Amino acid sequence: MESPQIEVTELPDDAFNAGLDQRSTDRLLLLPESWINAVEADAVYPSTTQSTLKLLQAAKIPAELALGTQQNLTLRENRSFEWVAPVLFVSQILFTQNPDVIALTLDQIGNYVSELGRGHKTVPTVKLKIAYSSSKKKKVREIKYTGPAAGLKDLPKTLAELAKDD
Amino acid sequence: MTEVLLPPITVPELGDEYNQAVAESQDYLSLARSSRVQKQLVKKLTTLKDRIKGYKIGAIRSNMEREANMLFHLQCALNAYICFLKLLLAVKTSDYHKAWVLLIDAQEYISVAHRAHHSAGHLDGLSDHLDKVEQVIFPYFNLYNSMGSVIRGGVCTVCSQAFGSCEHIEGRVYWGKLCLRVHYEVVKLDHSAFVKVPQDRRCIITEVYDDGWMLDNFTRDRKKKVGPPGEGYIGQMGGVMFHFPLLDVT
Repeated sequence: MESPQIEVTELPDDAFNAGLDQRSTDRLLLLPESWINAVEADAVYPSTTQSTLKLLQAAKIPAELALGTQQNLTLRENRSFEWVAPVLFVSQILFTQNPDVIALTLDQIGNYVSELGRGHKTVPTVKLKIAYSSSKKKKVREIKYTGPAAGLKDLPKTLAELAKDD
Repeated sequence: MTEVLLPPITVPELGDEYNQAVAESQDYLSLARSSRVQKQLVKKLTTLKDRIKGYKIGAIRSNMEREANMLFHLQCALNAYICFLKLLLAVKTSDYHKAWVLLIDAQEYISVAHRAHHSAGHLDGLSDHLDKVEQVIFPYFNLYNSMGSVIRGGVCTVCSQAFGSCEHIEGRVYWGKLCLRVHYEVVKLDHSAFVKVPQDRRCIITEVYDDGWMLDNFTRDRKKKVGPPGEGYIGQMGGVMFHFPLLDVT
């Protein structure tokens, strides 16, 4: 089994979006690819997005799409054995006031992807990014995770370190 | 269409029928065994599978989701055995590409069976047997085709509603059916790549160029003469870029 890889990068200044940050004070936002300055007409989401949102909503986790509606999405379907998640946008306020939301989300996703791999010889690789937005610093840092579903549970620790830095 | 009423039966009784049919088939999961008997077993298992599907429909109509999922588990397990027998028959007629597709079908049915119902691992033996067959009969494919596309829409296989509108989650089993998005619009084909671990191992290179000939990538025997490659080219290859599996999972 491959080892999980976690990378943290600070995104350019124009990644900070006060509107998204405000919307994310009480919920997760699911972002499309190339989400910085994206507009709805051009937004392309990973093909896992609709099922991810349904999964979170079924678990009563507050989440919504940043752009577009469930009924009207353009999706990218890749045919490698990877599970590519939509980018999860998390504001500093959401994380500090409700850290369980992130842990629960990653737990739901981890269990779901493990389920998909049941009976397969290889374990699907999860590719997941979290855009952590700080309204104090007007900055967005991106956590990029690549690895097995079981490693997702370590991401809240990484977020906690970023939150301490705020 | 006339509906046929099936005699009442319990899920455990159907489970017993399944166990008996599988026990009978186990002895014939070998290349050396009689093709005549293997074909008979394919018919017998298919008849049983269709009966079980009929009872599954009854369970759905009676609002018994747990029972429907248990019967779906048996449906998928039987499909895995049927594919295995058909794989052996295809190998015997040297239709290796068809045999390869049946191998992957069998492995996927086992994966879906696991999701339909937590079993006691009764399919582990079949899974291991398929692995051994794969290693012994087929060449090793180190790369597969993986295509990327941009899509929209689609319909849910569980409820037939627009996939974005229902609550069903792809890859999960509900009411004896596997949730998949189907009938979506392909807006564009985005890219193609060679990958070591694809989503669909049916997407393989099927023919390769060698010295003026196209070779079958299973037998490595000459298929057709094509002559030397044109200027600037070193050769050509053919393969399966995309496959819509027509699995019996609803």
